[in-house]
Amino acid sequence: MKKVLQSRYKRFVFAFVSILFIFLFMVISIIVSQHREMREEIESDARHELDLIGSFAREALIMKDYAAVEQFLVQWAEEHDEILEIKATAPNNFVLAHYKRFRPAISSIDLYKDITFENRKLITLEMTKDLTPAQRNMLKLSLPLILGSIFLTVVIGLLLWYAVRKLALIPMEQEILMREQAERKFRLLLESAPDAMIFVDKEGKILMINAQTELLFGYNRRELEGKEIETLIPERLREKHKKFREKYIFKPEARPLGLDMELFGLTKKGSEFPADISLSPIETDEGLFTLAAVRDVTERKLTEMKIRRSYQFQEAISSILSNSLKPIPLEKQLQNVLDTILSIPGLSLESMGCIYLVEEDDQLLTMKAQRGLPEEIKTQCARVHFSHCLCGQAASSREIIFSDCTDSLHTDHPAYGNEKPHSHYCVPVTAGDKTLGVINLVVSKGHKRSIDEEEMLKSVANTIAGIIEHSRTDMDRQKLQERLAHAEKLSALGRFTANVAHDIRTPLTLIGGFARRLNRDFAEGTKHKEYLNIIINEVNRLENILKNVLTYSGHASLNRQLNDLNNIIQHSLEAFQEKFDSQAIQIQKRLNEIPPVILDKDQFIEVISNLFSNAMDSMPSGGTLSVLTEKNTVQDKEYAVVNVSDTGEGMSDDQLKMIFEPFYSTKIIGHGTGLGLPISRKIIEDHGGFISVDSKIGKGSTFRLYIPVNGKPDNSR
Amino acid sequence: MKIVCNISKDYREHIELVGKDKVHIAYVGPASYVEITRKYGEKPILARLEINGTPMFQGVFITRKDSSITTLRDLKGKTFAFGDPESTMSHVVPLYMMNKAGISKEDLANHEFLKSHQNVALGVLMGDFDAGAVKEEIFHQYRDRGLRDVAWTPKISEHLFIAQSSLPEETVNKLRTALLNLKNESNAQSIMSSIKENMTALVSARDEDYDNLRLILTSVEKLASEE
Repeated sequence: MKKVLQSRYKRFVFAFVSILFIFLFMVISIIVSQHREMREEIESDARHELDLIGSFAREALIMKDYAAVEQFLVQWAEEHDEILEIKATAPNNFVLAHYKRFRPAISSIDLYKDITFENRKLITLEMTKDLTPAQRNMLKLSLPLILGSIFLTVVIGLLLWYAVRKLALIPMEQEILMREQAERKFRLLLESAPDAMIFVDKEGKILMINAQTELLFGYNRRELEGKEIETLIPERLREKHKKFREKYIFKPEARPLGLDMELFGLTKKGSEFPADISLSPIETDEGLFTLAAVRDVTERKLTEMKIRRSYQFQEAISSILSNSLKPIPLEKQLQNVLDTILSIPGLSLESMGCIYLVEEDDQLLTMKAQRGLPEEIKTQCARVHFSHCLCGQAASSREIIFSDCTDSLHTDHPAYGNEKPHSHYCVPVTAGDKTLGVINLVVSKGHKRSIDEEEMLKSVANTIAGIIEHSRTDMDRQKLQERLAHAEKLSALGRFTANVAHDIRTPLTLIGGFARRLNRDFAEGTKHKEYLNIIINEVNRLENILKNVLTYSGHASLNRQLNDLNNIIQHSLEAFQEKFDSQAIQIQKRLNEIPPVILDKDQFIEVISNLFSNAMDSMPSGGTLSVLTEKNTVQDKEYAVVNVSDTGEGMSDDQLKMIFEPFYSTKIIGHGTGLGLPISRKIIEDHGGFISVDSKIGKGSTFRLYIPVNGKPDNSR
Repeated sequence: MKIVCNISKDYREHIELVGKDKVHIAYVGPASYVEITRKYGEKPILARLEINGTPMFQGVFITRKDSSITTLRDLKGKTFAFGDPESTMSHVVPLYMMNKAGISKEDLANHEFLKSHQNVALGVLMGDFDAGAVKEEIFHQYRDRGLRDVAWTPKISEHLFIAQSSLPEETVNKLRTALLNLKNESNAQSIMSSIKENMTALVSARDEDYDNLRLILTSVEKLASEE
């Protein structure tokens, strides 16, 4: 600990020692300069001395008292121990006087002087003075001074250090220790915080961050510490933030999390995230600091958005549902639905979209409702075949198709306007394994498809499916009711007809009997005979009609026995052979092996006869009649199936709807009873089977008779 | 006994002091002696100095070793240094010799009187003068520093001690004996060297020993009066 602290004071100690050294240096330099001054003084003294000697020599030489000069110089030199050498040289190099002391000297000065008189050089004086004693004296004087000053410096230094340590350093160390502990605690606290914590000074410099911050922003702390806080803020918000910060200094206030201020953070990689930031001002002796807690609220925002979205969709769905209860036609219903979907915020571009439905043709989508589509699209896309275009693909794949405008999937519809880049959502509306339709939404470019949104769109689609189903069921029920009413009507009519027929039958039988008896009495070719024949024929016809009416109205009795169908068909064909030949109708038969079925042979013959007769009527100028028998399984039930196809005129859909209605006939009035097919269907249905029919105008018709194989024989009669 | 030592300011004062018998014993130069006897009559001679074993001394004309002067005649047009005007060997005798050689002071480019023999020697060495005149011992003393002799003067008797003419004969004799015996004293060397360097003894002298000087001085005086 001590070492650490001491190393911390390195700078302080260094400064302290430096000051002491400077002090020492000053003292020593003063001594040295004193030294130099003394030396200079000695030198100047020596020069004065030489001047003095010179002036004497000059006077003597002017007086031509040479000996005096010599004597004086030598004597002077002898008397002055510090003079090492003295020499007087005449201009002709004669040495007038020379005195030399042979003694080693540490330091000496050489002086030189020319003595002149009236511009004539009299003599040159040279003197060497020994400075050794002076030097020694000076040294003797300054050494203790220097040593003393060093000693003094050391003592002052030690005393000062002791004082500083006692008075300042030790308390400071303690304070630093406390501060360090506090800082460590603070750091620990900071690190343990669940949010990203950033400690900032009033200049906005980041002082400290925790591991969460590193994680959140992708920087490591060394990169961030010392940087401006704006580093972590998107470029566009930096200026604003700086201004906020400058204001904040004057009025620092704590700000909790969750104020939802639309703040953003910027990571090292440059991506932004919505952030929630709390601020806690911390006032210290060193000024204002701020502790900011940053929380990435991307998830929360997303969740919020999802919830909002889900709420919007829910709202839409509930609005759709409540609308669906209104008794309005499906197409209007669908328009309402589409408008509701388009009103979901942020989904559609300029409320553009449409709804397709699958109608009779189960491979074709028909536009039933649209909003905002350009005219061209309305016509171009009024009908879309399955697998064609995005909507067709959605219909056939029964999957939501999302296509961005940049996507290769995106089919180019110039009419949408290329200046308006857009994307599509094609949502199939399905029920069970059936595609009921497709919702097409035009959404803005760059719209991000999300699973959640698709899920919600699916639920909207399901709602729509429900409405369509509901509407269709409603229609079916209505039809059923109509038919029920019709049947009831027929039933009443049947009973009435049966009664009438019953009542008519007896007189008719009488008319027929008596007419035949009369017929025997008239010779051939007579008018009476001719009239009687007409009466007999018409009575036969009436009897036939009566029989049919009775059969249809359920008043005929069945006599069901095990029969070979192929056999019956073979007989029927033979019976009709003559007629077929006369109408140039070719017969094509393929009678496969089928198990015997239980049926009323006479009634079945009538059904076959009806079909043959109809086929003949549809082929007035010849054709081919194909008869095929086979075994088939429909909905786990075995049926013996009889196919009767012609190559006749065929029937339209509208006609097809009507052929099983009683008294509907394509035949000329009076030619048919209009009861052939209704009776046929009734007979087959009475046997537990059913009739189906396919027909195409110009191609011909195919009737299929399905008779259950495991029927029960009628033993009651 | 109280001894009073009197040192005169210059030759002239000394001559007058001694000549008028103001002192009992006097130490005088040879020229001064000749002057005193000529002006004030004879004085009893006590003893003369012996330097390096001889009581005679001579003067010498000096020049620098590198000088072109070889004879006295070469002095013509040159600068010349004399010692004191009263000095025997640095003025009186050399002047006499120059005259004999036919060179007058006017023939010299310049001449100066320096105070001492040393100054003359040094003045020549310094180059301030082309030549000069000094006594023999000074020449020897400075020769090695670059002097050369040009001509020598006749030998002259040395400095001498004389007594008051009025002093009794007995005292004079006693004094003479004492001085002549000085060399035998234990402290003779220190006493002698204090009188003059290289002095070896005091020896007896007569008035005639100074006659050659007397002659020279007379001739020089005549020269001066002619001028």
